[in-house]
Amino acid sequence: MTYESNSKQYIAFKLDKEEFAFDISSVKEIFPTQNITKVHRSPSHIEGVMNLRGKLVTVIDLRKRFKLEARQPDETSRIIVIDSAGAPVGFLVDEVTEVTRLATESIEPVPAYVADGIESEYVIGIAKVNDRLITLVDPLKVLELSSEDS
Amino acid sequence: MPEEIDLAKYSKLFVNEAREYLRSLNETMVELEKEPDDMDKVETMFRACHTIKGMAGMMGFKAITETAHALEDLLNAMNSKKVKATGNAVDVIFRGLDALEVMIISIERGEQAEEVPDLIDQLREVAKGNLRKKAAKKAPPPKEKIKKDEKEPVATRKSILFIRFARRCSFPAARAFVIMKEVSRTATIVKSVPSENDIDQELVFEELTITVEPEKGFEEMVRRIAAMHDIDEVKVGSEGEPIDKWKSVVAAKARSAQAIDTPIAQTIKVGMNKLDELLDDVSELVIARSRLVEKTTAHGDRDLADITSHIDKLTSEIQSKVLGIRMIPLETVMARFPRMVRDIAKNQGKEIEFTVDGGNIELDRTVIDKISDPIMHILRNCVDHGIESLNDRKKAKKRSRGHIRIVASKQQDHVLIEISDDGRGIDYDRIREKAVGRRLMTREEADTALARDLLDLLFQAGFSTKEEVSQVSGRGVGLDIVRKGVEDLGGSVMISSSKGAGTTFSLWLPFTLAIIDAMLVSIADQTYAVPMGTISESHRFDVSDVKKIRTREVVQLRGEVMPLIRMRTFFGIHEIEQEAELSVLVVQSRERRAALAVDDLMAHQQIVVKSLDSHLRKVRGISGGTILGSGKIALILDVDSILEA
Repeated sequence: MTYESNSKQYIAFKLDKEEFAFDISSVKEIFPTQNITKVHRSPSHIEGVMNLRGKLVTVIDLRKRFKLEARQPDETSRIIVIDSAGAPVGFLVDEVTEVTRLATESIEPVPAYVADGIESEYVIGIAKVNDRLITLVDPLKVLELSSEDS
Repeated sequence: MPEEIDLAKYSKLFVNEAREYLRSLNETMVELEKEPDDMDKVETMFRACHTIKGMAGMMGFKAITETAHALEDLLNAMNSKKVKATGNAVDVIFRGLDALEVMIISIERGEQAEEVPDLIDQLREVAKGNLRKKAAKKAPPPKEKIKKDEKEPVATRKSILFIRFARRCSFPAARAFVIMKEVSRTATIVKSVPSENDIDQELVFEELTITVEPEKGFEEMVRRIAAMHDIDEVKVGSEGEPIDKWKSVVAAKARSAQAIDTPIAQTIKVGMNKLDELLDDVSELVIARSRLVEKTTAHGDRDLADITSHIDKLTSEIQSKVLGIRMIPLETVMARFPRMVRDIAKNQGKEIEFTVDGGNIELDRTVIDKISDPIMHILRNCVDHGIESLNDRKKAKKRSRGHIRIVASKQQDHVLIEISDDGRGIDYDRIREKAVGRRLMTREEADTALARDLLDLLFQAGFSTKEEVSQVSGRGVGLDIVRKGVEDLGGSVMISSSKGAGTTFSLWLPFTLAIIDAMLVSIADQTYAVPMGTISESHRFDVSDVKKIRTREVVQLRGEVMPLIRMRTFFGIHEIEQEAELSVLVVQSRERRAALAVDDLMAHQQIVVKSLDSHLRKVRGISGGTILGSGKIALILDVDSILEA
């Protein structure tokens, strides 16, 4: 394994055909989708609540949050739990692809053409790995903006 | 010499104790201001200041020592009737107490407390009977300091100092450390049992024997030790003398001996998080118990039934004890209100009498923590908007002194806190004007609006009726926050008011948030919990019983017509094919009643209330959730917001 001091580990995941990643230090744990209790009358991007060792954790459907085409969770779907200010929150994604180390140099600033629905405020940058493009997202920023709209 | 021992370790103890004294000083001062001739109160305050001074002196907190000393002098002057506890004297004492508070905060943060020479000069001036501020005089050096080079041996024989701590002394090592430090100022310590090392290790002990070579001031110092907190007995003898010949030492001053009596609760401090964890475990236990009882009933084994019933009883006891531990009296948050009301009133040139009834009612710690700010907002409103100026009161032929009252009382499963003033009351016409001005209502709507709807506007963000924005209640923030705070706790708030006669705010609050009785129901394959406190009965209606009044469905129960709310429709789920019967819960919140139609009634159970995070807190119809024995989540229906829909 090559070790570069100017690099960070990321958890990469898929939503629709696009690839995204969170900084690993903000990720608490990852679960297969389990019983998610629906909360009616909640904002549409909220999938529901789950029982995380006796705590009620809100699960946000990132596809809906990023205004991508909606889809039913299946066996590859995962919930990435983020620790936000003491209250964990889950993000529902299509699939967790890998844990990857990205060098700071390989991360480019946010281009102006970022897709619709994905506000540039929470995109940290775009990483180019071989022929893949990974959008690096700040999960806490996503949450901050989510609670404002709701 | 024990100087090497790290003082920081004992600062925390000091901060806690000093705060306790300061709190009672503030309370007593507010009372004293009302009855300036009550010498008992002066005496109580004197003792508290004296104790703070002593504690701070031992810890070497000079700023606190000096301030407390100056306060003590002023109180002494009051006691000897040289100064009266009114006007400037009261203000300067309050300022002194505030300064002490600031200093204690600095100490808590591990910073140096800042000295306040100007304030001390003022305290001294007032103590001399000079009410007007005069040119600052240089403070005389504290006489208690003994310079090292002045020491001259008083006795050549070594003395033995024997100290027994009171049983209730919660931290003897800290006391011992403080004593050793004090002793070392006027004597050379030859040895001690337990040793300095053992004291530093914080071993538990009840007695302390110190062999010393006394120097000047030794005897006075011994008397000071005898006057300390948590010390039962002090004896002094000479080395070689039999112990029954040792002389008991009487405390330095009768006064300071009494300082010991100011009680500091004999308690163990436990972090709230630990109690929360304990409660979580108990909650799981309560759920497991339900399953055990269920299985045992099915089994029919007598021995097993005995054990189960025993565990059942114990679980209930543990549960109520754990909940009990978390309960604290309302007065813990009320303690700071009298001072606050007094300050604001004074600032605005109003005279206000403030009384609290029912402060002994106990509520869960979580409720207490969150209720303080809403009550504070309301009180500010009462002082600022409610009570009229002296002139206006005179014109209205009211007595000049306004009255603000807090009355707390138990109401079945809720606590009712009423905060009322005898002020000008709420001017409905003014609300109407404002509502029209802000286009919240048309002129016609405003003119025909009921008082309840108008009062409701006051709870909206940014709606304030006072023309000038005042420093105290701000710009209409407040009442909306009050409502939010109370509703977050599962409570509700109402205002009633009559013009010219005053306003009453009523807060309904749950005793505890933790465990409630609930009815489990199913709606579209999900389980929901309905708090028993909101249910008046369950009923089955024939579909043909449902009538329509305009667009709303209603049902009739023993002559009472009430709206029917189909929970599936409320949640936006497809209705199931018409069944012959509807399962209905008759619920009520405040004065409103309705019939909630659900798919099925399942069971009556105790549930542990868990909060939802901020993303879901605003969702209507849901107030929280709970985890069932199966691990599944049941959301808790918020009857109040369902009925508002």
